[in-house]
Amino acid sequence: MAVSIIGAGESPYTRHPQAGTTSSRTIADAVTRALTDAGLTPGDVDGFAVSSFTLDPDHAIDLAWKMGFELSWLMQDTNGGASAGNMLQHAVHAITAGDASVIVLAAGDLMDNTAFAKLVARYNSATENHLTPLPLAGPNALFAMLTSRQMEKFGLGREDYGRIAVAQRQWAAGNPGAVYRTPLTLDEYLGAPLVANPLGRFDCVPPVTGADAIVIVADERADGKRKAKVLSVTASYNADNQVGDGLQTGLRKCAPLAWERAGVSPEDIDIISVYDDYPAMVVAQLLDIGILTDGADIAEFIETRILSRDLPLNTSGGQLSAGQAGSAGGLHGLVEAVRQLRGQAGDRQVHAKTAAVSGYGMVLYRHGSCANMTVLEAAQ
Amino acid sequence: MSALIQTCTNCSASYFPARLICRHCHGTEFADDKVDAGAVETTTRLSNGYQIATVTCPGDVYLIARIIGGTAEAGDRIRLTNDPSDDAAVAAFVPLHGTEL
Repeated sequence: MAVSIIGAGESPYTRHPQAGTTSSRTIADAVTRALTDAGLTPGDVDGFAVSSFTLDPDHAIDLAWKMGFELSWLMQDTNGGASAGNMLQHAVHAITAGDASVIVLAAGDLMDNTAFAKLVARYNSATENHLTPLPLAGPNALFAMLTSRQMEKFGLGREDYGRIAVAQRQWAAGNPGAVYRTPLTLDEYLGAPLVANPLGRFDCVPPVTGADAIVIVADERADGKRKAKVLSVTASYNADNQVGDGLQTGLRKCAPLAWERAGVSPEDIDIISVYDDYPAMVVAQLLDIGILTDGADIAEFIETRILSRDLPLNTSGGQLSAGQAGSAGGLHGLVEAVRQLRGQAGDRQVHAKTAAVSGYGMVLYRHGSCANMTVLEAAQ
Repeated sequence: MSALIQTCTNCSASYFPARLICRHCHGTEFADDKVDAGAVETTTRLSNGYQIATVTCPGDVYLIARIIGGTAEAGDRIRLTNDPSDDAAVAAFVPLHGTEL
């Protein structure tokens, strides 16, 4: 696979979007930033994919038209937290097949209180018919129960999840784009109001308005540019049919192939972006992709590898501190990995040659149904 | 009032929420079965005071319910209802099948 990411951009995340903000404008802002980062213009683009919950009544083609893209490849994705991996998986093959040579992937949403309430109430028909009438407004209760099952299975306590939130907030201090950058103490985490026990306020991602975008090209177009070479992308959808405890994600099925195709093993990875809708899902995905080995002392790993920053994990602050910009949550971790591999991570820059990025999302009824995994390598 | 669980008329596999094709026998004919009770697997208490539970029923059925008429603990056997006002005694409220298919 000879495809690389040569540009990344993020429209600044905000909790309080200005009047007149739209999803389309926010996405276009991220796209412009990514193209500028890549040293390209809209006229260079011949492939475009977008994921957004709030484009209605527009679609990918409307956005492409309004941004002046003339295309030979177009895709619209609907997979939320797994959108980035899905779009990337398709884009890599489109470039390899010669269907396009410069592809922009974008995701973003205007996610104010009204948009968030509308999204979670009608997330899908199962939610609309069986969860919203309970009433239930969003997935906190579902992941509270999942977290309880994980605590019981592995003997974890609230303080273990708290150390993940505290560590990510430390990383956020080095990211001007994160909405929450003030250091968080474990006492503050434990003392915050409970949202759905055992989940407190700092276990839940803050909805923000924002967008992310990346630019992907065939390697021969990336000569001389710092790039993040795509070593592998694999996916697994409906791995458990919503049956069982939800503690294993589809990554359990698709990660081994991602490592094999990349020719890289978990211990070789320098930086990891894991989809962090809740700290329990960070633990679940680290187990599924093999960074945490089955049977390991998870509490000790969190303290000695994550809290210590020995393992650079979600170095943007993740969604827990940077914010969750709707569908862009799926692309946020990939943008951060690309920035780290291209040496653009500012105060939070780590020495990184290889990166792993996991996607997870689309709660059909009880937990996420979509998962994918990307392995990247820094190259010139 | 009971919970309504979708059952494959060919192989009797159970589903909630409803599916289009049976993943066991690939049949497409289903009926709704009334199920009167389940087992509480996990619970959580929301900041608005509501208790939400995962309730399991035979056939790998997992229901998300609101506990009404009292409180529930993991391991409890609990009555199922699709009527949120049916709260004279403790029960798990499971909203009906809708028209999602």
